[in-house]
Parts: sequence; structure tokens; C-alpha cells
Amino acid sequence: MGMHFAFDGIGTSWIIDIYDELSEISEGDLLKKIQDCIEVFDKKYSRFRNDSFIIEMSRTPGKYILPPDSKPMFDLYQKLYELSGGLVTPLIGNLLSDAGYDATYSLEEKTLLPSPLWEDTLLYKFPDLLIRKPVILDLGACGKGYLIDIVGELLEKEGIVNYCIDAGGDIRQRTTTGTPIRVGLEHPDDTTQAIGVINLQNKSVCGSAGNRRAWGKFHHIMNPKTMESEMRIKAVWVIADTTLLADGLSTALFFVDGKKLQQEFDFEYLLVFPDMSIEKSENFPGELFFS
Amino acid sequence: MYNFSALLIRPDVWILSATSKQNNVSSNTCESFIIATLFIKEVNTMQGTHEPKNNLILPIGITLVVLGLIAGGYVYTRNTSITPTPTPDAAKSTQMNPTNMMMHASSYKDGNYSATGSYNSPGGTNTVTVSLTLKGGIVTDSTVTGSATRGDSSEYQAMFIDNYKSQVTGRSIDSLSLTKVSGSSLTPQGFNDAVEKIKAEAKA
Repeated sequence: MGMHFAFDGIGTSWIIDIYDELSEISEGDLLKKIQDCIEVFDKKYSRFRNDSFIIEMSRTPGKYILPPDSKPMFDLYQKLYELSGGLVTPLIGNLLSDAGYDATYSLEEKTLLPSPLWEDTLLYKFPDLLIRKPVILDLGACGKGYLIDIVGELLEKEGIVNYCIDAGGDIRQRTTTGTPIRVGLEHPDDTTQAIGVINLQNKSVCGSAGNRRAWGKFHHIMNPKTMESEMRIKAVWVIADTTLLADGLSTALFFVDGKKLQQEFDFEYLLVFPDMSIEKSENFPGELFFS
Repeated sequence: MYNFSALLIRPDVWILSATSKQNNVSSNTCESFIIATLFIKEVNTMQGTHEPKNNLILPIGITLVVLGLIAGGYVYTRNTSITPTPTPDAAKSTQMNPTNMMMHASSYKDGNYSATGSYNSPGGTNTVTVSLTLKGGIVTDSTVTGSATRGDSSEYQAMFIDNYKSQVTGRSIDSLSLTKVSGSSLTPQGFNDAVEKIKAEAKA
């Protein structure tokens, strides 16, 4: 009973566990549906492939009609941009690429420029997006989380209500049997260890840290104004109802105070600092291991 | 409970005072009183000395430490000899958080900094010393030591020192019976290959 899919997609490893019996569809057909869904998303929103809509938009300024499913992402970006004073921004694609995190993973640093401002570059009124200057949009702050939600909804459309999607450590779990899963919080310096455990039940959790996507003096969470990678925080976890929100907030917490974000959104969080001290939201549902 | 304020006498001497807003311990009223006088020592860096003229990082750090001790129930009153029961959670909540001190840290050179503050208690005058390690404008480590060696002072100081940092540590994943692990996203082979390539080139 139950099935287990493991495959690569959008630049990371996916593991999908399904605890329900399939009635209408075969295992093979379900896996194909999931992978097609991921490919369609990637072709729209990835800056790592030449044939994507994002890259098409980056070449020519002008007015574009956004795909229907982009609204939650762009709306969230708009809100986080405002709350972070422009530090969480989709306009960071050029900076990331020039720092080395480009479509070919050259990891070679070129001349860096601060990211352009939203107000100078974009006019967003869904579904219209007016792009005023050539710019590579990067949707990495919440794109993966959003895709996880989309895949979750695909499963639910097939009548699956007990499942767990894990895309490279960002997790969405749904259960009708009231069974939580134990999720370890990976130690940012030692991936064989965890600094705590949370019980996840009908929630999403996203973790963010600068330990993996790191090269030279950079890691992939960059400040668009200082053009440096954020070093004040070592790791972040967010638990929220959607993976879109958990993912977006796990980036935002590198730049915005958690309590300020909690005035706008419903979530729990944990920050780990370079000296391994922590800050967490009042109701963070985890057991942490203290020295 | 109390309104705190800090008065700068000289760049290296601060007076902390508190005014009680409401009474919640027996029927006696606490009025305004001086709770601590902070003497900021000259700090030593690896490269020389640096006087903290206009920087708030150390006074803020010391203030937080002292407030933490006060919140832990250690208050000197003029009118009565009340000894409030210690509340360790309150001490924990005044966490000395590296990001609180981030604002001015970037103006310091890398190195070790320390400052000592003294405060009055029913048991006498005590001091706390806060040391910070700064690297690239980030507090990478901090320690607090207290002068109290006995009695309530010693107990409260120990409670604060044990809890103010709340450092987490790792445990082996294999020992934890986990369903999943959450952390930064696993990287694709292309990225890993690129990193290996650069490492190889660097060695050549």
C-alpha cells in the first residue's frame, strides 16, 4: 500500500510519498502527470533555460500577459518587496547571474550592479506585466514552494489525501488520519546532524540556508542593494499553511524582522545565527537541541 | 511592570533607572530608583584600542544583560525588602540577540570587545562583563561572566548566563527516527560539478 516516487526536477531532488490507494489512475500515469506538471512550470518560470517565458521577457521590454497561475507568486513578491524595502525582489536575476549563479552554473563573478527598483522597472496589474527595461526575473524566493503546492493540488484532484511531497528539503504534508511526520531540522554545518525536530501535520515547512548553493564569497541569498550574500543569519525555517508562503518567508526572514512579518502573515519560524544562537516565533512547534 | 530609561553621564558612564507602573508584589509600592550604573571599559581589539564614543552596541548589550537580570527578579527597592520570586522565563525573553546589536557592529574592526557594568542588589554591588567577537561586522560569539559568587546574585547571574544565548547543537540524524529532513535545497549535479571544477582549478 502506498507508493514512493523519486526523481529530479527544477534543479533539485523530489521525493513524493503517497499513502492512499490509487483508484482511477495507474502509478506510471500519475508519475508522468506530476513530471509533466513540473516541466510546464519550469518552462514558464525558470531563468536557467533559454526557451522559458521568463527568458523571453528578459530580452525585450514591453507588455506581457502573465500565465494564470502566476498571480499568487507575483502578488506575494509585491507584498514582500514592500515589506522588505525592496530587499526581497524578483528583479535579482541579473545580480545572481553576474555573481556566478547563472544558467550554466559558471560560478564566475563578473561586474556586479545593484538590482533595479520595482517602481522603475515593472508595472504589475495582473494579468498584465509591463517591463520597462531588459531584466532577468528570478522567482527563486517562492517558485519552488509554489510548484510544490501545485503538485499537491494535482494529487488531491486525483483523490489523494494522504501524501508527503519533499522537494530538496521543502516539504508539504497532508493527512486525514491525523498522523504527523517527524521532520529533522538539518544542521547548516553538518548535514548528518539535526538541530531539532518538528512534527508536521497538514502544513508546509521550508528551510533556507547559505550552505549548499555557495561559491567563492557568495551564496544564493543575495542583498540586491549591497550586492553581497547575507551572512547575518545562518539558517531559517518557516512553517505555514502553504509551501508558497513558507518558501517566500524563508527568504524574507533574511531581510525582515520575523515579528514584523507575523503582523502580515500567519506562520511560525526559527532563525539560527552564526554563533548557533536562535530566535523563534512564540509557537514554533519544535523540539530544539540545546548545548 | 517597569519603565526603563538610560541616562548618559559621560560617553563611558550610563545610569539606568526604572519607574514602576503598577504594583504586583504585596501591597508595597516601588517608586523610581536607580538600578544600575554602567561603566563602559575601554575596549581592546586585536589591532589596538577603540573608544566607544558614539557607538551604542556595548551600552545596549550591557543594558540588555542588566535588564535580563532585573527581569529575573533581582530588583533593589528603597522602601521595602521585597524579594520577588525569580522568573527564569522573563530572563530568557530578554535574549541578547546578535541582530539587536547588528546596527552598529559594522563600524568596528574585527576583534574581541568587552565591557563591564555594575549594578546594586540587596546583596551588594555586582558586575557583569560582556565579551563579543566581531568578524566582518557580525557578532560571531558572545560570552557573559558575572562577579557574584554566592547567594541570590550568583543564582540569578548563572540563570541568565545559561539561558541568554540558547545555542543549538546537532544530534546525529540516524539517532532521531525521522521521517524527513528539512534544510537548504539539495543542489543539482550541474551545480556540484561546477563547484568541484572550481576547486580543482584553484589547486592547479
